[in-house]
Amino acid sequence: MLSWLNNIYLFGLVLATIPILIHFLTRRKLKLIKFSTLRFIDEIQRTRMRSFKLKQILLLIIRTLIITFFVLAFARPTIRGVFRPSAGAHERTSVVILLDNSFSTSQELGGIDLFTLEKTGARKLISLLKEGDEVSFALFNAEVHPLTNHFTRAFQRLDRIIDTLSISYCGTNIAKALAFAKDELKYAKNANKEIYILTDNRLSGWKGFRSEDFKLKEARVFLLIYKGSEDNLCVSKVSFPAQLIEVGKPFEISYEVANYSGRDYSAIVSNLFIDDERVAQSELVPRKLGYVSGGLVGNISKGGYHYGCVTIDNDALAVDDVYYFSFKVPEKYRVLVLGGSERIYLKFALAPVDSEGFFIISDYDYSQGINARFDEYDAVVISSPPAMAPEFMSRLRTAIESGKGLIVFTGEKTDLKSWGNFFSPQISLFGVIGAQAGYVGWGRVSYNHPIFQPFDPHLPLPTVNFYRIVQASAQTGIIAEYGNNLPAIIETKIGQGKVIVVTSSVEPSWSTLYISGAFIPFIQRAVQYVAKDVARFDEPFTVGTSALRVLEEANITSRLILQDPRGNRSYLQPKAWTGKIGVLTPQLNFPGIYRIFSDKGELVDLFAVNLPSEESDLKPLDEKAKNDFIIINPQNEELTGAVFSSRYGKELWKPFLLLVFFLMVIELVLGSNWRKAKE
Amino acid sequence: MKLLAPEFVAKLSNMELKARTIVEGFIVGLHKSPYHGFSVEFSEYRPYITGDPIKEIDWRAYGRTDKLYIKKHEEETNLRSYIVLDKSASMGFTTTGITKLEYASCLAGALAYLMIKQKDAVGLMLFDRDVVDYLPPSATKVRLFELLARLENLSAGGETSIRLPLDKLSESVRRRSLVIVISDLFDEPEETISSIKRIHFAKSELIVFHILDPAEKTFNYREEAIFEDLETGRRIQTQPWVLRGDYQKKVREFADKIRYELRDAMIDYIPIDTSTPFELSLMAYLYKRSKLL
Repeated sequence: MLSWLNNIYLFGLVLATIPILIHFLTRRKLKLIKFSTLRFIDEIQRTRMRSFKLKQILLLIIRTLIITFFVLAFARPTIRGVFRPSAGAHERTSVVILLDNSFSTSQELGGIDLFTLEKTGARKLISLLKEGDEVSFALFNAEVHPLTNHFTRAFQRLDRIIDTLSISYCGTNIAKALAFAKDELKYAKNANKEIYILTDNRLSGWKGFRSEDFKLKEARVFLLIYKGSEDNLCVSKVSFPAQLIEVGKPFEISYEVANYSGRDYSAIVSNLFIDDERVAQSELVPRKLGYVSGGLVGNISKGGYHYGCVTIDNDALAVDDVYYFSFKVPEKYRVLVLGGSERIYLKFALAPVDSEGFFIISDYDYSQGINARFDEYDAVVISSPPAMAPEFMSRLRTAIESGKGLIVFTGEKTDLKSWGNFFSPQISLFGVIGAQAGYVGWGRVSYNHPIFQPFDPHLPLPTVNFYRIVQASAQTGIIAEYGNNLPAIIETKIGQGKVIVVTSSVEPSWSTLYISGAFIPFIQRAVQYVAKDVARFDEPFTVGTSALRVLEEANITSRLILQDPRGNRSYLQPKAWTGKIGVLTPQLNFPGIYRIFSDKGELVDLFAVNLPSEESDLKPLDEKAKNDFIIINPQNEELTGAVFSSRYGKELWKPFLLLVFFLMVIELVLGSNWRKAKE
Repeated sequence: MKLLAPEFVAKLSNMELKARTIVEGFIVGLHKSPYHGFSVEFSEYRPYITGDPIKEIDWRAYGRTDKLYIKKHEEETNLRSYIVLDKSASMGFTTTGITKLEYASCLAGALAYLMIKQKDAVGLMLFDRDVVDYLPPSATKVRLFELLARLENLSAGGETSIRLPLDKLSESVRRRSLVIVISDLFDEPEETISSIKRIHFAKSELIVFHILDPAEKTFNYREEAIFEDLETGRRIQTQPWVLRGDYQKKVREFADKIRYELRDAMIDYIPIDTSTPFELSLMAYLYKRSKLL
């Protein structure tokens, strides 16, 4: 069925009567010629004029058709598409435009990013709106951000809004955008309803979309796909292998590069930056559609907060070629030592004569330490603990669960029942046994455990004679055994806190550990390990989410300042949760390092934010899978024509003009014979 | 020979003047032309040459001019001529400013003037569907003036039919007469030819002046128009350029048919149009007369 985009031009059809009028006016003004005889004309007239009349009528029809089709071409005829039933072509239209500004749209093609192309497309769509049309405009990424209050007719204002839009660092959720559009159409006033989604159409953006959830009979849904390259590399992950990070000592950082391309890459260079300085570089070879891991070695010269990133060479989508991380290396450890007289060995091991006060130690016997505030310490070392009051045990558990470290040496006074319950079910304590041969030494030791990393795995540990031991069992976490294969050192977790249980004692009657060369490194590393271990390497947050940060300084109550990677600052109000102080940030919009300062300007927290890794997979959704949408590729087809073609049908002005040209050729041939004869 | 344009002659005031202008101009031209040997029989003077008989000297001319001239005496002839003129309505057609009838009248007048001047007897028959007027042949000047007067008052009208007038003429025409037919011959060609031949069989000589307007030969009209038949009043609306080719072919076939039939019968056929100088027609007459005498 034909419809017309410029139907005002249809009035021009009256021009088609011109040839007919000329024909009849000419006939009315015919001259009368008195001629001597018609005898010769008569015969010819009968034969020749019949065909001439036919030709004349044909010419008249052709001339009329030429004008008719010429006028119709200007009226821009369209033949209705077969996509969806819709209101009449000339009805007013309510349009929902959704603009994808996920970070994958920052991919550049010929120096222009896809989002800029999308903005151009949006402007074009708005320019196609007529008086009486209305538009609802929104940005979307992982969330939808409406830019108009439902529908508006202030199209010029939208142009200015579009100028201000920029690419986000979020992922894509087209299902959410479509749900928004569907809701928005409830406010539409016009009969024609259209939804335009301008997107780079990545497969992961369609996660959660179900066609049956999105049936719209009353609206046409256009998918304007801006295609970029499918090749992309990104740094998808950075992690710290299990290790103790010590000032001035090298430590290792692992990273992973994802290759979402369908091709192999030759070696690419990766860089490690710590505190804004490049400290390491290495090469790796990403294979197609796979991940490749690498390691980089870093170093820090002081304790405290640190941050960094791993980068690779920039590709078309550069924004995901960097991955940020942060970590904190305590400058001092506060340690509470509880025990009998043997605690002196522990205290000296943690604070030797020449130490620089790396461990701040408080030591009490059980009667003194029963009211100790565990949250003031990074780690608690307990030696040969007797049965303690339930309140003590409860506070200790709470502290450990919140992240404090605990090291327990069983011994002479240890109440195996109550402490067995404390460690249950991970660890079971059965009873004290003496060594059959008088003593046992070290058995199998996990030298790759951070506590034992300084020891050479090819050399035996310094000798220790264990005379008495507590028989224990554990499914996992045994990091050292005695020579009789019984667990000697067991690691477990209670809540967020790490726990090390040594099934012997530093008491001389139990072992020679206190005088062993292994004792001081063991106890110091064990305290560091449980107090602030690699597990506290900050897991980065993702753009588009909020961060809940627990502050180490528990006495902060005044408002804090959050500084994003671009230097923008906002205020945060700390809140108390079960004895801890924390802050909830607003949505994090940029990748990079965020800092939290006290009102006095002191740095109280630091964390990293990275991009959602699934957005880096640029594989597109197969367009054929989207039968419910009208697919338009604005980079390959003229947008106006494509939209009109889909909205009103296929434009026919070109065929009409072609027809005019064809008819003119026929007229020229027939008419030239006529004119030649006339002359 | 400088020829008179028919349009010019047509503008002259009366038929006698027209006839005299044509004939005098023709004679003057003829003296200067290589056609002098056609022996126009009329009086003339020439300077006296020693040896000429004294009695042939024109003493009157000597008295007026003091020069001796020999007067050449006219020869008497007994040629009887009939001018048969078509005055049907189709003869009133013109696109050149002079109708076929006007042209024919001038031509007939000039022929009559020339004939009387040569002491030939000349008669006139006017016809359309039938004989309209008839003057028997006579060589007197009175007859000439009568004839010229008839021609002067002539107007076109009536349908053409050659057969009946010629049949009537064939009954009255004497042997060895000259019949001059001036017509557009817009009748059935077979009937026209047979009627002319019938006169020819009666031992008379014929000259047929087939007179057409140039537009009747070319049909050179450029606009669509309604054409009205001058004789029947019937109308046809047509686009002339569409018919032109076929029309010209038809007219050519029509004229050719008459020409070939008459030529086969040894009858002179002179196709002329209203732009043809009269002298050419007079020349044709003299040529024919020279053969007859």
